[in-house]
Amino acid sequence: MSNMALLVESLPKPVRMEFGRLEAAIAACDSRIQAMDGGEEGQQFAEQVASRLLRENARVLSLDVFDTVLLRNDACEARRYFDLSHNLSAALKKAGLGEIPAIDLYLTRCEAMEFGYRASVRVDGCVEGRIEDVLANQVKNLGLPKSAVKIFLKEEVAYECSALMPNPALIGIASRFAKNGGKVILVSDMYLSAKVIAAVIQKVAGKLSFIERLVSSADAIRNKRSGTIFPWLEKELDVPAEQFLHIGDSLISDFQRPIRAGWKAMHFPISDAEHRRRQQSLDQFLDEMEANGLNVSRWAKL
Amino acid sequence: MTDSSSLVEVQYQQGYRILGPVFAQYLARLHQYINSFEEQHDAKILFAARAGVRIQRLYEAFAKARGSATATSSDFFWVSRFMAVKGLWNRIPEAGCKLLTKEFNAATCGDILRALYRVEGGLPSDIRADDPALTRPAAEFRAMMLSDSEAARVVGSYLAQQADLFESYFAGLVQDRKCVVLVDSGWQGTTQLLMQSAFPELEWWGLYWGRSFLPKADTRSAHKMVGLMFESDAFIPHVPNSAIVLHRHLIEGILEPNAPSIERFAMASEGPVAPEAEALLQERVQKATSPLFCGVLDYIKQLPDGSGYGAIADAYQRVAPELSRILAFPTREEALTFGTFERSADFGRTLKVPVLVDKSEDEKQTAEDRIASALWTSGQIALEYPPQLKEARQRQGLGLRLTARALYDAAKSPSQRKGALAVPGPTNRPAVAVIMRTMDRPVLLERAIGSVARQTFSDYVLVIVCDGGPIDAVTAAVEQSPIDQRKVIVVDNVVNRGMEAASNIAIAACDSEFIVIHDDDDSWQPDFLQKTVTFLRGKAGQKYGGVITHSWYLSEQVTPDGIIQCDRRGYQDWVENVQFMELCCGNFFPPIAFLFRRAVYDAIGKFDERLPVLGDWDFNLRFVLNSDIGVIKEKLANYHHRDVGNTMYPNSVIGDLDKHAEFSAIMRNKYLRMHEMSHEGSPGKAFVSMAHVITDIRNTVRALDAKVANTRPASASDTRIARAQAMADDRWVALHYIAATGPADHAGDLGWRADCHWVELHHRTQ
Repeated sequence: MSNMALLVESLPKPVRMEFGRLEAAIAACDSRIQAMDGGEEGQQFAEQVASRLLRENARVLSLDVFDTVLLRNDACEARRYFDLSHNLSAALKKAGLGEIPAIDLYLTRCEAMEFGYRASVRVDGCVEGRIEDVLANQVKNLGLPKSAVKIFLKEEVAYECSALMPNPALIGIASRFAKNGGKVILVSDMYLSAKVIAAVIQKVAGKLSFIERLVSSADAIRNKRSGTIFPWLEKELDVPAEQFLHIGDSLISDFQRPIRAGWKAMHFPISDAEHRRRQQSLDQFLDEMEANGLNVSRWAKL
Repeated sequence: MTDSSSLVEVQYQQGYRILGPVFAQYLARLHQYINSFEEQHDAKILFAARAGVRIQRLYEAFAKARGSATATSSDFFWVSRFMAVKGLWNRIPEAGCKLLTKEFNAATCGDILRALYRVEGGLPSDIRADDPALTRPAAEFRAMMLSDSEAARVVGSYLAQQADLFESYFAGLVQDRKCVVLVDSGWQGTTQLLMQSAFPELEWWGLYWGRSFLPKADTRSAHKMVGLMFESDAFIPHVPNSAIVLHRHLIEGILEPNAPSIERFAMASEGPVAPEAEALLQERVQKATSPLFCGVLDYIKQLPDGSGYGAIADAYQRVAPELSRILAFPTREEALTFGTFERSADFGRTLKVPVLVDKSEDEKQTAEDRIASALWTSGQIALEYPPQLKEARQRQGLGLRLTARALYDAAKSPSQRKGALAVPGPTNRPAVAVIMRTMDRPVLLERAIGSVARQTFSDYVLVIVCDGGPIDAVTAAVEQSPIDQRKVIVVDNVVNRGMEAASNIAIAACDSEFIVIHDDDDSWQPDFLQKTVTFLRGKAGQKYGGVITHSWYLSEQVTPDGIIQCDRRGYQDWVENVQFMELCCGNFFPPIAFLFRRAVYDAIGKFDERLPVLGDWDFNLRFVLNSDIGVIKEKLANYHHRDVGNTMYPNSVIGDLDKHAEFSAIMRNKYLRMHEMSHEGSPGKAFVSMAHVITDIRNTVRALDAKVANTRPASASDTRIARAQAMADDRWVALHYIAATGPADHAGDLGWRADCHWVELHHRTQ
């Protein structure tokens, strides 16, 4: 053995460290709904959140809502809109407002959403769609009376509630954090207003009285994806950036953006299996529509 | 189809069958957008003349057929780009002058004035025919208007009067609305831009058939210009309606009324009016003169495929691929059907231009001349070439490899196209291993991790190897960085093992298809990985073992307040390919710019751990002896240097200059020995030794060039530098020639040329 080889042999061995093991475990689970409801990953996640809150000396626990505090089923967005359109079609008929095909309700919904995200009022370069505007536009485009908006909104909330489940692990740790004097806020990038989201949360998860504030991008016209909401929240709560810990499912909006804003953040990814099932749901939806002679790929989203 | 009445009938039928469903879809979207703007923005909807008149006519027919209400707050807007120039003169004269000089670029100020006054019956008598202002080039129109010439005074007064009338008319039209939506055919929103410059207090939106910008167009308000059927500057095969950019005159022609353009306002008893508006409103649309429009209108009146949004979308999707194919690859009959009409010139000109050029117009013109001047290139090709040749020529004209049949396929649904568009899904083996070596430079490391996190390509693993520095700083940097934590592996070397050993350890710690060394002080543009991986996975990249991109050279300084960037310039911009010979002269690309296949790494062996510096150069030389390296000539990598101010965190190329010189010699000798032993008589050793000579001479020439540049008088022309550089290039070619043919035969020539160059440079410094 050469001197060089002997020297190398005598050096301490390199140590390998992996990161994001818990995130990887969550991503690997079959269903976060099951995992967070007494599953091993749920327990580990709660422990890690608790330890992180302590370690970072956080004053505010900020949580995303959809796919984080409330967990969605495996239907893709396009399927959800289309199923909702079916429900609406029946509700409108029942209300004596005529027989509107579900496909017309679906297409006008997509167009109204697109309009909302493009042409709504901008704040600091950020534009947000709001469900009230979307539904008002949709109702007008379908030639329905303005009063029909109430039916649309009622069906929207009912459908959302049927497709969501609470996240007991996260709700539990948030509740304990609040009891110990911390602030818990919910921050959602969503076209539903805070009022509507609050109604959905109450129906799905019961009254979460420890939540100090619920902010929806639809009301604030600032969002996580653009990063504009973080400094705004710091001012609103009068808490410096480094004392926030945010948790959510979107790598960009709930993890990268808050970190770039100086917040602490934890990623709570949608599991690969769930993601696959949603993709299957989208493929199946597109195929069904195609079989009926319509290509809706322009609008249909995951 | 030479008989004009049968052509008219075919045009009508095709207008009904193909264009009818397309326009129905356009009107369905227009209807929804108008409703939404009224509902959400309390907007004033203005159908802008002239296209707006026919659009409104179609819209009314559409609403009637569906039994829905039309816009409640809409009006016609009597305007044209030319009228906007006149009408906004008091508010934005510079913008008006700019547009006029652009439209009349090869003409004179006299031509502009004659156009301005055409609708008034010609130039007023108080502008003398021999006024010198009239002969000034159009480009000087603004200067002419600012001059004290009689023509400027008369025209200025006329434009001011027109602007007063127009502003008064516009105020009455909009009243107290804060949001205005223009409805027009398309494509670049020129009138919208002029109006919003003149009335910035209003919120302006445009609803267009399509939105398509020409190069250098003003796109600042693009998000407020809604292309209802497409938004694209070029034809995209899988977006059928973008084919309209190939023949946008089809839509414009259909929507152009047979009535004059709006070019003036006058005062009437009821207030300011556009005298030509009445003719537009009274237009009697006839099948004989507007067969395509009549076909569309009749379809809209009937909506035979159904009036629901789903039925309209369905009917549209059935014809859209066919329309796309017709616009890109028309047959002769289709060219005549969709191209036999005229477009009228605007801006005060009376000219009418046929879409397709008739051979009898000018016997001297060749087929290619006519193709070049036609408004619809593919259509003219269909007329000029026999059927068996025309598609190939059309493809060439479109710059496409696509066949006409493929256009149908491209428009199919995603599920039908899965096979063609399939991309490899994520597997346990990531595509790229990003190898990051670091030692005690947390500030730089944080930036480097951020650079990886920002990549638009996400199928990678980041292996950070801490080569002996404090590990806590590294783990903290990872935990606090915006990178997906699941993608990170940290290897703690515990003790310093050297840069090349660190690379080898990190590469062994993971698996991947590709490898790239991302030093902790460098960074990438966000699409570095996307573009390099796409290149190597693509057809063109198959012959390469790796790919480099061009780079930015960033000079920076580390201060207590953070990193300050002092300069940014291109680095080795001349690189177009990677040749072994050139690589022997020196390492001309940084590791941050080089993505390579792991298979080549496995084949040529690891980084040489005995080299304290220049290990990457050694690796690159061995790499090129095994595989070629492709070049993406985009600056996608950032090569950072702390070469300003203090020497905190020096680069090895800056901080270890002596070591670089020493190991440069060691490396060349290594390659000479390698070739001496394994390739007796090969030109390899000549290359390596010659490369040293070339590098030496090149550096001498550059040093002399720099000296000349520093000593020349301040007023000296830059062409002298260009000449010196050209000579350096000349020398470079000569040296390459010498190297390729063997140094011994041309040693005298080399010396002679070097002497000549020296004399020349010496002479220039005197």
